[in-house]
Amino acid sequence: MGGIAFGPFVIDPSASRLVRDGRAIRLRPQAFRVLEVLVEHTGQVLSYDELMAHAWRGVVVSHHTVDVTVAEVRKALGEYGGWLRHRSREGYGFEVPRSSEQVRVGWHFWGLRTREGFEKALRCFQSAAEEDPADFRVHEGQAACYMMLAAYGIGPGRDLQPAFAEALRRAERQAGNTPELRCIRGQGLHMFERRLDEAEAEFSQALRDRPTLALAHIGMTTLYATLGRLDAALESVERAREIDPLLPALPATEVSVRVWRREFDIAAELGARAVALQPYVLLGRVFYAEALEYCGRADEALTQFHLTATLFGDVPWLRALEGGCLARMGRRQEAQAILDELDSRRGTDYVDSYAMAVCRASLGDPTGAFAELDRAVDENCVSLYAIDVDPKADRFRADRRWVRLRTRLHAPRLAVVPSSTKR
Amino acid sequence: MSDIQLGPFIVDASNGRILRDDVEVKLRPQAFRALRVLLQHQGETVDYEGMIAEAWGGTLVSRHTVDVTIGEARKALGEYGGWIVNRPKLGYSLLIPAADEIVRTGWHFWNRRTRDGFERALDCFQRAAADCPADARAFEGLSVSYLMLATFGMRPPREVYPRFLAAHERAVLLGGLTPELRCNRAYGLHLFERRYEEAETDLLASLRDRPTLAPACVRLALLYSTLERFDDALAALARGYDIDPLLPMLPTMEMVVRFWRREFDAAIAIGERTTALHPYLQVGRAIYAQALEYSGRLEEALEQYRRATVTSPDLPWMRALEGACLAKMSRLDEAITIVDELERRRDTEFVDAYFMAVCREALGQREAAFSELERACEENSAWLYSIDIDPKMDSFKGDPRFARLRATLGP
Repeated sequence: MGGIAFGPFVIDPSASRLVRDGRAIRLRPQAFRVLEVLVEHTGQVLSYDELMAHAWRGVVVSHHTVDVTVAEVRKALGEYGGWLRHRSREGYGFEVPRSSEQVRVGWHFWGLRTREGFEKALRCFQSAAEEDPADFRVHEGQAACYMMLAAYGIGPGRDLQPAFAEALRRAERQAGNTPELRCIRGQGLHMFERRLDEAEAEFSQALRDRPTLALAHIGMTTLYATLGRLDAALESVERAREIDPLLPALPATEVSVRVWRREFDIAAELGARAVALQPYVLLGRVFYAEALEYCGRADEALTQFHLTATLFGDVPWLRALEGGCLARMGRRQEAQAILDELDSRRGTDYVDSYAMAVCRASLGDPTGAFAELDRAVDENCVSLYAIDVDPKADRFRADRRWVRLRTRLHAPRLAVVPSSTKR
Repeated sequence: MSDIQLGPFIVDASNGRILRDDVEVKLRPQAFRALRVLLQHQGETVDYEGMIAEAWGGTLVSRHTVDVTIGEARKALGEYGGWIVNRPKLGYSLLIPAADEIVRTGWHFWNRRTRDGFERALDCFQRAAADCPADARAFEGLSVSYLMLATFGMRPPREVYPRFLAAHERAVLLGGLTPELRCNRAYGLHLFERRYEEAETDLLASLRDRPTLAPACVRLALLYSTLERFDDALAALARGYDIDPLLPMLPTMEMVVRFWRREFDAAIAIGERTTALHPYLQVGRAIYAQALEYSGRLEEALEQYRRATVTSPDLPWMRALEGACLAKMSRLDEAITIVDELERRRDTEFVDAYFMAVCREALGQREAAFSELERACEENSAWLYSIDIDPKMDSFKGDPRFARLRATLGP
């Protein structure tokens, strides 16, 4: 509380600490004072004398000492080091790009993890890009939005991937391969292109460069799910927890891994904890509902589906899953009504075809279900990433059409994400 | 990999030194080595033989030497010295309470600003305080959780406000009167002691000492509104927006100020933005709903009250407001059902009488409404600070009983 925030950093004056994304960054007390002084005078150029007066409390030191100390600060700021500008002979100034406020609001909306949130976030990053196209963060934010719009089934991967790739390319061109960007690239390679080895390499490299990047472990977890390596997935969840037990995506991911492992009782128990810790994370509730459904507590599952709809607004694929749950409970008429409603909405709204396949299969229509699955492959639905481990897909596996579907899914695609920027 | 975080310390193993909040703590190299051994075996007991082998490189020293050296390491850890535990005759172990993590989790829950969130936060801070009775942060969290439970009408102020004061004093004793703590105290002075001048002095002082303390701006705005200095309130909020436009309580407070000024359309416009930006902020939605209600958009208001209840279903006064709205819509049966439900809940939990008064009044039960208002005074309901400016109180004002009641609250 009470710290000065800029970009991903917070200066905590009471503890003399610089914090990035919740983690303290080591900085000599002298370098910390320089940073503090420069940030306090944002937008101004401070001469060497002024820096000595404020940051060295009037002790006279050489220009070289000032330069070296500022260089330390710049290094601590990583890819944001450019915000510290040197005016030769004059001194130093600190300036946050004008797009910063919008970038912050953008990430705030992104953090809501709802359709409305992602769409508003995208608009924030887009308008920030108009203002300051040279700020890599506006492109990074856009790439992250396109990824999530696909991952949350708000749009088909096929349509979102080109914009994702373009935004990522721009961000990388300006900032190089930061660990955060590698993490986004890894997600793209995994979710959009199924180039699994390359995705793993990106996550690993991101973690070597920044071992505290918990999101890379989350990316790794979902990747291991696709690979069917569920023990490794569980380990990755643990790694993420060691770094940041309050990471919003963590409990949801943990519940999903337990569901994929068919440990439904554990999943339900963890799900209850997940919604207590992160009540406003949509996927946490969805996986909790699925866990409840699969351990035979369908009524409670239905309650969670309804609550999710009230909290997060209208998400069509959620309705499809609810329909699937109703059908399994024998409430076929209600399930059919949902299916009809979703069919009629397809003219105007995107409805995730994989969820539709689950709903149709639950209503005893395997042919319709496989047509939906084919459609999902055509649309490059991101939700297909867990198809090999998802209990919802179990009923499909004995079908002769399954093998052909998987072959189509894993057929090489035209690479849209360009290979890594060389720097 | 050479740095190990240990509470407020960083153990810099490669350079053989230990830093506390970036300042080096003096420690003999031998004592440092002993500490490092304990750190490497965190949670286990290191026996004397093991300790001598690892920290003294096998040189034979007496147990007494080990004890003395560990004593030095313990001293260097200051108030955290208790983390090094002696197992009589066996050896030593380093047990770090998870206080850091618990405190962080506490703030995570606190930031949700729901009853469930504050109760869970309270639980976290209580555990942290039990683990680390010298940790000022635990007591700061504890105090501010009590304060919010009282402020948001979630627990009876008569009961929790003294607990706020006790935890607050403890936090000040341990860590000094920080601007944050001063700001909290001022908030209490305003809401529960109605000592407005002192509250203003403290709020201004906390902002002077820490100009980036945006929550102080929110509280200043609330104070100025109570004193009907609405323009000053808006100016304080503008200052808050300059510091941190994403602080959830800022737009909420702005809505409150507009609502009290009877600028309902302006309040609604802010409400639309607030609910988009902070959709799970229950109190924000409650204010938005009231603005809708008082500008006659009852259906929309009802929907917002209900959504606010979904966000955290355990807040009785939200139901009371929903009941009042239903009564205005002439859906009396539903309103009465809610009142009955709330009366039943009173056996086991706190239902803020201020809002019960509003609900009874909307049902045309003036007598019952006044006895609720009296009860609110006895319970020292947080919302009494707004009795002069709250539109919900307007209908009471022609009644001579209101003037009498008002007089008991002081200036």
